[in-house]
Amino acid sequence: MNALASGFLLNWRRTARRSALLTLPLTVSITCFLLPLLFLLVVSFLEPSQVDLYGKQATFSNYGHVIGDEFYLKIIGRSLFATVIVLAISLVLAYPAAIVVARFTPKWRFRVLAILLFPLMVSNVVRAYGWIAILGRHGVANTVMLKVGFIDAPLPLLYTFSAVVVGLLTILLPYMIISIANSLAAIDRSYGEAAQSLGAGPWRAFWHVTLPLSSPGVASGCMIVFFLSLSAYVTISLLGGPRFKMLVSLVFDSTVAYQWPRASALSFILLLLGLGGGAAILAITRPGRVRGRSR
Amino acid sequence: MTTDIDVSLQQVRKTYGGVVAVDGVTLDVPRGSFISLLGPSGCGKTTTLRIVAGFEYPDHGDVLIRGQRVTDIPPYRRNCGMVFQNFALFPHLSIADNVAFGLRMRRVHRPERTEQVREALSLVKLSGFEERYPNQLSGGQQQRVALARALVLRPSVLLLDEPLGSLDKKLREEMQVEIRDLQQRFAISTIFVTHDQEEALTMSDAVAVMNHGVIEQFGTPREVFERPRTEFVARFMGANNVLRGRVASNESELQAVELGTGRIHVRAGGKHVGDRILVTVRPENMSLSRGDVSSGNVSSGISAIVTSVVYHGATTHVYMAAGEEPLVAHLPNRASDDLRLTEGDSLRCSWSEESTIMLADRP
Repeated sequence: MNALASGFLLNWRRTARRSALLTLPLTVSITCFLLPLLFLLVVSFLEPSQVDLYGKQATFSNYGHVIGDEFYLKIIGRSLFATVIVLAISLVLAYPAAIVVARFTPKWRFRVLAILLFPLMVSNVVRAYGWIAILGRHGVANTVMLKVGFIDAPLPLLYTFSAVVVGLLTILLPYMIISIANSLAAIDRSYGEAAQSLGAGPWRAFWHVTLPLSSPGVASGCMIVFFLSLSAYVTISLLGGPRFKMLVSLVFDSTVAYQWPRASALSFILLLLGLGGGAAILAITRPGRVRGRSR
Repeated sequence: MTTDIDVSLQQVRKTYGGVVAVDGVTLDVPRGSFISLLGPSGCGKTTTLRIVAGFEYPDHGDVLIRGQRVTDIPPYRRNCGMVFQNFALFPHLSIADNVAFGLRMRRVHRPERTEQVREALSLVKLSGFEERYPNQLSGGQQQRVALARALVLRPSVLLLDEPLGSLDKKLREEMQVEIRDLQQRFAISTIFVTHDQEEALTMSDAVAVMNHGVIEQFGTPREVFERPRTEFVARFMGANNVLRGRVASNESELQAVELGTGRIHVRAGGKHVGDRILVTVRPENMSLSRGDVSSGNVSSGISAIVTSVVYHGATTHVYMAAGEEPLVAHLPNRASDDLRLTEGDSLRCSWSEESTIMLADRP
């Protein structure tokens, strides 16, 4: 009994010691993230005010306003559409690249992934201005095409949907490639060989075995790309311009216009879209299946 | 005749960046037989198996399955059933779907597929496990699923790549019997890769002992164990006493051989006085007595000094040095007790003339 008691105490102490390590991150996370978020949630249900940042009366009108307004709905739809397009293109481009990267030896894989990460060391602002220099009315692309005689007048390349998608892709593609490549590299080659010995050609072995087994990497890559793309601001405002707005731009605009309740409501709609998208990604890719069923 | 051979390897050679993995292996697997490729790691046994499966392409030589040249045929059209060392069960598929995988690839229709899966699982005593997942099964059960998955396709040949390596000793012995039973029931030609000589001896119809990419000896378990032809095979089979000597004199059928610290008699036809000779004797066939060779009146035996005595449960191992050569004898505990051996004792090692195994000498 005594041994049991002391064993319990020892266990408890160990648990306590381990939990102590969590204290700092938890404190920071609660005070700097969770509490402000709750505050924001409260604000999103308060009346706007002419004199203060927000009024005192509770209301649903901030949400009602957004959902009832065709302008807002159009921009929400556009944000989702752009994000899904970016996600789809990055998935299609990244998977083959990841297959190639995953085949390198660990040493070379690390080097290639480091090279892929290299462009991310340049600030988003600088990168966006780079695209402006290329896509602008008198930019590199238009100048070259005019000189070659491919076009007669400069094309409107900048401040378009495509410009935003291209800009986002150049930032987000490396995340997708790295995520999928690491997942693919972790798959034991015997699975593919087992599939082949059972009569599956390369394509069917890929479809029935490799692809499902890479689902954790696909899922995490999609999550990163989806969240970052949905919440991107700099790229969108610089390459989309004043006419091509997204949900995040609206949050910013409302904030600088001192309409905090509306900005909060828009933020929470964005958050819900993000959570919904994440859930959809998990439901489609089903990364949990590689673990089989839990005991 | 060729139709009776399920797998035939002809002068197969494979190198990796200049390093020879398989060096001209020729091997026939008669229908329904169980052949082991036995050897230490890096001897080329797994590469040989993978060449049969089609995962490796030989630099030279040919692979024939049921008389058809398959060297250029990809693995998925060879109809080889393969069981991997880690089993390679698809973790995202249920047991039933794992076993059904090959049938699905062959576009077998669902009702027939379900029936065959049911049959295959009952054969490996796993009925009722259909809906489970690989991670819910024990090592032995996973092993059986891997076997069922391969056997359900009625492959031309079953390839087993150290399938018992990851199981504990007791389970390994059970699975040895079970695999052998299944193999005989299906009369399926099997190539079994292992580094465990006991496993190879108990399970196989024939054993190919491999070293440095070459089959050093191919024969029945008995032949390989009792009549090893080379020093490597002898040592791999546990006959660790390898002695070098020269023929000293011809006495009718027997030759007297000088072995440094003694002389023995062997039956070595065709050897002349002065020829070099290499012999081995199994540790359990050696008997020890007090005193050195000159003290006895038997003229066959060698002198040795005890270096250590190790109790091994069923037997006691006596390690000795005969000049430079290390020797080991496995004695019944009673015999070693009677001798009261201690380090530094002088002994006479002797053995019967039939226990002497002549080895091919390599210069």
